[in-house]
Amino acid sequence: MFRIMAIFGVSGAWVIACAGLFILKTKGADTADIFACLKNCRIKATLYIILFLSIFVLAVTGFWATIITGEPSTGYLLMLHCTAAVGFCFALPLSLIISAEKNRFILGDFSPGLRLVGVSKICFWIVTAAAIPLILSMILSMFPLFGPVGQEFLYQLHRFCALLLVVTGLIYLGFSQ
Amino acid sequence: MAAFYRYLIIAGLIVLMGAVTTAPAQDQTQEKEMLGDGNDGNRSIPVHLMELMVQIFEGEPPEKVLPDEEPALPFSLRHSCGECHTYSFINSGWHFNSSKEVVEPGRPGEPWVWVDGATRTIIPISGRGWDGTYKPDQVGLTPWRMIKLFGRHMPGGDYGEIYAEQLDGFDRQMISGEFEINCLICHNGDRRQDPSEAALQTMRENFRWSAAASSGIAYVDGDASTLPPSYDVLMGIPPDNPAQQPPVIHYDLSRFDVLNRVFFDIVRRVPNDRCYFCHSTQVMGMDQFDEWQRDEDIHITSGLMCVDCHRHGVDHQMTRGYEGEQRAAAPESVPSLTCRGCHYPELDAEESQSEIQPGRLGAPRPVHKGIPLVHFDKLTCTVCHSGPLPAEQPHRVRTPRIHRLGLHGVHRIDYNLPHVQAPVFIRNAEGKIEPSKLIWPSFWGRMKNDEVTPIAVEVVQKVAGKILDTTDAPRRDDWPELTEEQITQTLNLLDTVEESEPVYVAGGKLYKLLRGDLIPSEHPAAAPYTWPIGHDVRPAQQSLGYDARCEDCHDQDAPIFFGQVVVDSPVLGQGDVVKPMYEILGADGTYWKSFNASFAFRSFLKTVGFIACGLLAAILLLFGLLALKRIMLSGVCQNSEDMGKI
Repeated sequence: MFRIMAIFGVSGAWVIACAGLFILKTKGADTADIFACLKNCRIKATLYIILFLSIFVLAVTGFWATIITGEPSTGYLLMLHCTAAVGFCFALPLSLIISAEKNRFILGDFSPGLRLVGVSKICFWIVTAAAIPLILSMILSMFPLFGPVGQEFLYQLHRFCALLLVVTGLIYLGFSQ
Repeated sequence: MAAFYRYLIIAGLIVLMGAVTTAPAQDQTQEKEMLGDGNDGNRSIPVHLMELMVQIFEGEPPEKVLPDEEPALPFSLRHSCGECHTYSFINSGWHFNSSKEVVEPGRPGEPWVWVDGATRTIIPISGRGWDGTYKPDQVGLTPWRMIKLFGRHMPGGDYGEIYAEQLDGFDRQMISGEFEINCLICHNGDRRQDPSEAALQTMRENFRWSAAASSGIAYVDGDASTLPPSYDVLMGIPPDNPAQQPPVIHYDLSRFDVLNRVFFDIVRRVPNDRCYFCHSTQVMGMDQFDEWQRDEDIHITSGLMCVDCHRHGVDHQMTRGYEGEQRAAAPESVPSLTCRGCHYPELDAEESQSEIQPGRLGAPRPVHKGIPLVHFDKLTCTVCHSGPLPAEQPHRVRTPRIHRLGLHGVHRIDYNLPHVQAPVFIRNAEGKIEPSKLIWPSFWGRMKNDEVTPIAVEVVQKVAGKILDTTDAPRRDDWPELTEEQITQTLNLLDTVEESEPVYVAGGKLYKLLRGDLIPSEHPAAAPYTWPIGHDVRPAQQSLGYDARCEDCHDQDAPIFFGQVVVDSPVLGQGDVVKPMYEILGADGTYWKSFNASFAFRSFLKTVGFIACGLLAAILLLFGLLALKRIMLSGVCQNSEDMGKI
């Protein structure tokens, strides 16, 4: 089930993100110039690089096992996943702090010409909200608090939050200006 | 001539009628259920006030044993118990069927081990054909020799019923009698039941006297092994040669009632001590006077008995109690008698679709707090819960069947070879990690088409007895040392027969001669033999990983991966060889080193994770409150410009 959801979710999000980018380009909207942003602020740049690299590694190591083998991630993949998780935990909240103000909802976010902006803001806050159970589910599973049923719940929570985060994160990137 | 034909026809008719009338009678006998085969539903055990029976000549009906007769006859359990129980049904049970080809071998178990210090031989033997063991006939062991070597810890039946079919046991049967199943060895609840005495009688070849001698109702003197095959034991005439000691039985007459019946305290739930005589493990390294400090299996301590889980029906097909056990009889009940069957009832209820509900015996549901789920897929329950706690080097253990433990009195000898190591972690047939006992085989053999077959100990002794002489050999770790020169000389003497070259297997290596030089190499035949540990189960608090003690296994020197398994070998210079556990396990040592090293950063990851969650929650809270403020003020504000100011 999760395997199918992951395949359709991630590929669908890619399509939507690409479609969003295409629409924004054709409309001549001022899409985010990543390189310009990176040049302006080194700290911000470093933060984003860490974030994107860690998300990339986490997504590949996490979804590789799920999509390709259909089994939980183990071995070197799991080690890499856990290593990248540190970077993710470090970079994500800081990046969100930087971007939160920009993504405040204002009146007119969903006006006919700016619907994509509204969608991207929704995605931003979903990413923020999903990141908490995503991180917490794994951290809590390392404590002697939950038995097998709880562990299973935390594991499923982690997977679905990760999927939600990746899907909404991709859409956010595609739609953000 | 006509009369001849008439007689021929009459004779033919008589034969035909005989055949017609006797055939159904035989069928009825075979199908007839005897008094003790079934169960009338009453849980109380019938009082076994029994007449003792013996069959003097084969084919004749059994006779009653008269205890005060001179000479008195030993009773036969086949015929005494057989009055009410179908013997042939019982003797297909697990304890009596290792010699029968048709039986499913199941997962590997403890083998018989043929040990001979003089030829530096350790051969794991089993009639069941487990991988890594050799069948008795492969190593030249006849049923008679099997009994001579291992009968001390056999409950009778099995090889004991077929030993006379081969030449070397044929002439002994008239003296020793059949080594029939000793029902009392397990089912006699009387504390006088003495398995050690049964072992002694078996070693003396007093098979037909063994049950009586060990039951506590009779005293048996004499030694059938001293008698020539021509001696008539039933006549009881004293032989001329004083060295020949015919067995003599003296019944305790006070145990017989006026009808010459004897009360046996027969139990269905066999006492643990009966099982322990053959199935117990002594962990070495503790002074014998400190043995009292050891704990028993937690299930026994909690009041269960071995037979509460290891059950069987009248067919005596024991439930071995491991997951995936395949059985011919009553397979539906078996999954419920595993660790998971009792402790995780709902799992097996789904899988087995059994009518017999699992979750038996009030087994507590494990908590397993903080144990990641992957552990339940990759490990058997016994990894964390069973056997001696893993140490830097696996413990040396001894078992009754391999080291002849439990033979009390003057015939007790402290055997240390073979060196059995436990727990050693291996990957089982299902791919799960499992704690096991391990021995390194060591034997002289012949290799043909890369297959190695051991050479019988007697053959080696005969050919190379002088070369391998242990009189002056220095001892190292219980072994008389063996030099490479001795191996070379012996291999030269063993010579090539039928394109099979002589080899010596020891310490995980196969030694063979190549143009006169001794070449050691790796070979599957030299691989250690392992069998899983089921008991003793430790209490939950003593399990690996209890209370999230990840370091029990995920530490830089955790025994489960980095324990040092001693490669046991008599060969000079090979005494100190060890193998890391991950190699035996077939795991990647580098991976486990780095994976376990990563646990040092766990606390850091947890801290970073919590801070990240805190910050994210703060962002959500802050902006959520701001949004709430805007929503609340939206009713107050007149227009969008005012809202924008907020």
